[in-house]
Amino acid sequence: MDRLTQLQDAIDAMARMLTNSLFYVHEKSTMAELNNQISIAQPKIQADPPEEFNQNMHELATDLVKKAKEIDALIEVLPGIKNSEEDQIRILEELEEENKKANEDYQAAVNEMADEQSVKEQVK
Amino acid sequence: MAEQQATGSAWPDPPYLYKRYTKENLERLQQAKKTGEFPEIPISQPPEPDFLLASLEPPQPPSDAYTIFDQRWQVHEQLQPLSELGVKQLFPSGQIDRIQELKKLNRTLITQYLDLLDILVKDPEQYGDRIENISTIFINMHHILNEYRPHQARETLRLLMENQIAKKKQLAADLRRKSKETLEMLQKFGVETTKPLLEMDKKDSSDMDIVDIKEEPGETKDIVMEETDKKESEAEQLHQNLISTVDNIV
Repeated sequence: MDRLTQLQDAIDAMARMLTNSLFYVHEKSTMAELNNQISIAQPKIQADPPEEFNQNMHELATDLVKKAKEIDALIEVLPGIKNSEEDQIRILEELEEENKKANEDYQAAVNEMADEQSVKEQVK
Repeated sequence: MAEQQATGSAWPDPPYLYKRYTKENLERLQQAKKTGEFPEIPISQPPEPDFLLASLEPPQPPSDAYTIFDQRWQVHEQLQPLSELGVKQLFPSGQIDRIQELKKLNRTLITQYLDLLDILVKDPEQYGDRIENISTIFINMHHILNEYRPHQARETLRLLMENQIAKKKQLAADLRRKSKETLEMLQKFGVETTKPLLEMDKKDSSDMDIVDIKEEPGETKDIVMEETDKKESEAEQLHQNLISTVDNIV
C-alpha cells in the first residue's frame, strides 16, 4: 500500500483515537468524593472499576503517543519529496529518451538475428 | 405488463420534442445553417408551445462548470486552496518543506489536545476554541497531503519507466546471447559431422566405401538439417516470445 494513503489513514486513526479517549474517560469514570466524610451515594452503573480504569487510561495514552510517532516516521519516508516539480518533469523527459533508445536497440538485435538466419545458411 | 386497457401503452411516451422535427422545419434548419442566420421569430405549431428554430440544434456541452444531482462540479478539476474552504492556512504558501511542516502540525495537534483536556478540567465551557483549532490542524494536514498527490503520480510514472527500460535492455541482451550460442553450436556441429567424412575419405576407396561415403553424407546431412531445424525453431520460438512480451509491456 502506498505511503501517502498510509499516512492519511494514520492521521484519520489519530483523530478517531482522540475522540475515543475522551469518550472513554467521560463515560467510564467512577464518581469521586468531594469531601472525605461524605461517601459516594449513587455510584455510576456503567463505570469500570478503578484499577481497570487507570490501566485503560494508561493504555490509551500510550497508544496516542505511539500513533503520533508513527505519523512522524511515515512523514520521514514519504518518497521523493525532495524533487521539485521541474526536476520531475526533466527526469521524466530523460527517461522517455532512454526508453526510445532501448526500444531501438532491441529492434536492432531482432534484425541482427534475422540476418543470422542467412549466416546459418552459409554454415550449412 | 399492460396496466391499462389494450388501447393504452405500458411504456411512457417519448419526449414531446420529437414533434418539432418536421420535414419543413428540418429544411429550414439546413438553410439557416448555410446562411448562418437563425430567425428570431418563434415557430408556432399548435397545440405545441412556440419554439425557436435554433433550438433544434443540441446545445453546446458546458465548458466551465455543470450541475449534477444538485451538486456543482468543475470541468477542470483542481485542488481548491484552503482559503476557498474557509479554513485558516497554518503553513506558509508557495514552496514549503513538506516534511517539516507536517511534523510541526503533528506536534501542534498533540499539544492542542492536551490543551483541550486541560480546559475540560478547569473550565469546560470553553472547549469550542480548542476543538476548532484541532479541526483546522487536521484539515491543514490533509490539504498538504492532497497537494502531494500529483507529485506522487509523477514519481510512480518515473519508476514504471525505469522498469520498462531495464526489461527491454535485458531482453535485447538475452536475444543476442542466445543467437550467438545457437550459431556456435551449429558451427561446432558442422565441424563434428564433417570430421568423420574426412576420415572416411582417408581410408581405402573401395566401391562399398564409395557407396558408404555416398550414403554417409546424406545421413549426416539429414542429421545436420534436423539439428539446424531444431535450433532454428528454438530461436524462432524465443523470438516470438520476446516479441509478445515486448507487446505486453508496450
